[in-house]
Amino acid sequence: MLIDARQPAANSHRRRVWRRFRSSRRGVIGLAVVVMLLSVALLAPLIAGDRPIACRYEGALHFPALIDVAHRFPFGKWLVRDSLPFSNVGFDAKRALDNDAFALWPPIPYGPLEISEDALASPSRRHWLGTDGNGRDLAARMVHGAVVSVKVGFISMGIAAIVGVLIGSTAGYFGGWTDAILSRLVEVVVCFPSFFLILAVMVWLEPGIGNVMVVIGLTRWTSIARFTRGEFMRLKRLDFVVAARAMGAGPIRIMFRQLLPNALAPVLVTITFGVAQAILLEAGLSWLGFGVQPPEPSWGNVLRSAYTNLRVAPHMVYPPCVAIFVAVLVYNLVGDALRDAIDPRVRGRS
Amino acid sequence: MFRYILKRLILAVPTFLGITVVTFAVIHLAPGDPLDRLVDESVPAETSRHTYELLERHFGLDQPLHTQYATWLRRIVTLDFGNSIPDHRPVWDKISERLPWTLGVAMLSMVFGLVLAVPIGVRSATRRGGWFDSVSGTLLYALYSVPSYVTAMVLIVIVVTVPIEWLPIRGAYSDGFDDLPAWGKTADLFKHFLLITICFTYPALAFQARFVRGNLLEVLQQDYVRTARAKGLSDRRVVIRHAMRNTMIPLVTYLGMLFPTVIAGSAILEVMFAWPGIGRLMFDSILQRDYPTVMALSVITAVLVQIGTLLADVSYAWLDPRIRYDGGMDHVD
Repeated sequence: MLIDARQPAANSHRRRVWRRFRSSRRGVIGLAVVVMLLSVALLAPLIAGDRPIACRYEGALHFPALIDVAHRFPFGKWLVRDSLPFSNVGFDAKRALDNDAFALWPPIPYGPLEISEDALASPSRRHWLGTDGNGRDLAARMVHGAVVSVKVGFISMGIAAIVGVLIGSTAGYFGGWTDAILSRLVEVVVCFPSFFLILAVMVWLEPGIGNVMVVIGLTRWTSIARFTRGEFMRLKRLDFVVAARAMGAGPIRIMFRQLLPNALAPVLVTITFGVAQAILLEAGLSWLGFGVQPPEPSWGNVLRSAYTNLRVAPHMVYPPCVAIFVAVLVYNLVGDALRDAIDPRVRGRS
Repeated sequence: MFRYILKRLILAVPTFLGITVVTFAVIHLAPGDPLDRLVDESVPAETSRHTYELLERHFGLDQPLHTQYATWLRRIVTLDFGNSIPDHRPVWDKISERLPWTLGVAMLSMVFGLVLAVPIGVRSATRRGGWFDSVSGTLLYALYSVPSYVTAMVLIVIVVTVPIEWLPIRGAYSDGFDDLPAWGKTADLFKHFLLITICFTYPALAFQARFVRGNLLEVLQQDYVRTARAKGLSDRRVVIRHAMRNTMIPLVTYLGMLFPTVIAGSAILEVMFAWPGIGRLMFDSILQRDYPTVMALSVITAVLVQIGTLLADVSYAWLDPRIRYDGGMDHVD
């Protein structure tokens, strides 16, 4: 290995960044709330659902909601068996379980799609945040909507990061004509009113969370590309790159083994802000009817149904508004603290 | 400098072509046919197919895609945006009757934003770390993170539930606006502009105040500010005469650059407030597959963004001779 010396340096740099990050109160609070949002999304079936966490049914113990959580992990469906008969479509756990049988229900004992008789009910002990136009529990929809926002935030920014890093690093490393052409490409995407592009593409594709993620990912990569390019241009002239080249390393190896690890910091900051933007965009698209389609819950379409029932059930407006605001705020807080921690010189600037 | 501008203008040509090709492809390849709505379903199939073919030929939609693009490009050089498909009106007429509403809100919000942001920014920069700085900093930060459509929803709900009956939440003017006397018109416009202008103003305000503060802090550390202080000038004079000038120029330039983005970003708010502006025109045109209108709007926004970016870069280079550009992507934002 020719870059052994880099490893400990990178580690101590990372530790220094973490120490500086921890010293920012806003950043720590932001990170705590981000972790909380992630846990809500991951554990959604345990917080709100129409299946018990644990119960005794026909003499055997069942853990339907826990198994739902397990199924959310990659390969979870193969590793953990379905909780029959609870996972059968149309099986109503609430009716099937006797009142005196042991059953531990989630704190919000309603599924996000579960329809009840009292539509547009105000908040009460039964329904903490009230119900929507179809009698679905709003709290349950908010909890499961968090899953959408986390997915959209991270997967779309993952796509954006891959595209942005590839284009930015190629432009930055090779320079010259490659750079000129790729820079034009970036300019085309930047000059584009991206919200319009997303709308146009969403009309073309089936509306739905998968396409929303792809489209946001493919339009929001430009600032990642710019930062990667800038870092590559700065770094490629440094001695360790010259040394690697002298030892016969090819461009691909230099780009991804030597340069990229050193260029990741500003990219990470851009991604954090990007997650906030993606959540905002998804909610906006779902509000306009191009994102997640009802009955599937998302904060955007909950807000839309609130807008439709504005005069009858104004209580529906506040939960999605607060959720979107908090999500955007905390990702911005983390992004700011991260930027200050990585480069203390820019601290306090806008 | 002249060479630089020329180079940028030449480089703008491929960008322009790229944007138009992408828009053209996306909107034309999207499923759905603008002519479907025009053909009357009730007449016999033979007649309606004939009408359809006539319409197709009329709008040139029977040509292959690249021929259609070439025709469109030839027209655009003479600033002819063609006719809208659903209502046959010239696209330019449709845009120009919507433009004042969007521009009006955008201008108002920028002016209000500046009027409020500059004093806030100056005060927090000159008394850095004081109570005003930390309170306004936290407030502005929170404000900056509230999406404007979320604010719009909350405002609308408040108006509906309180209820504030004199405050309209939809449209830009009342029915029978034309019959109102002059003062009535003014009052009517004011009422309609109020909410949507608030929603456009506060994100701008939050951004501008942070920008002024950050820039001013940097400028106040410069040698010439120290010189001015050493000459015995008052703090007030140093800030207003010496430091502010070099803070305002980047701010105004940046706003110029941001302006087209504000217009393009207005779609959700305009739909929420049923505002007759550009954002909603774009939204409706996409839904109706009104190819000429969508193309025209994309081109206009793209060109505005490019002009804004170029002006910003040129004025930066003009102000700061140390800046030299190589035509890369650093200065594109």
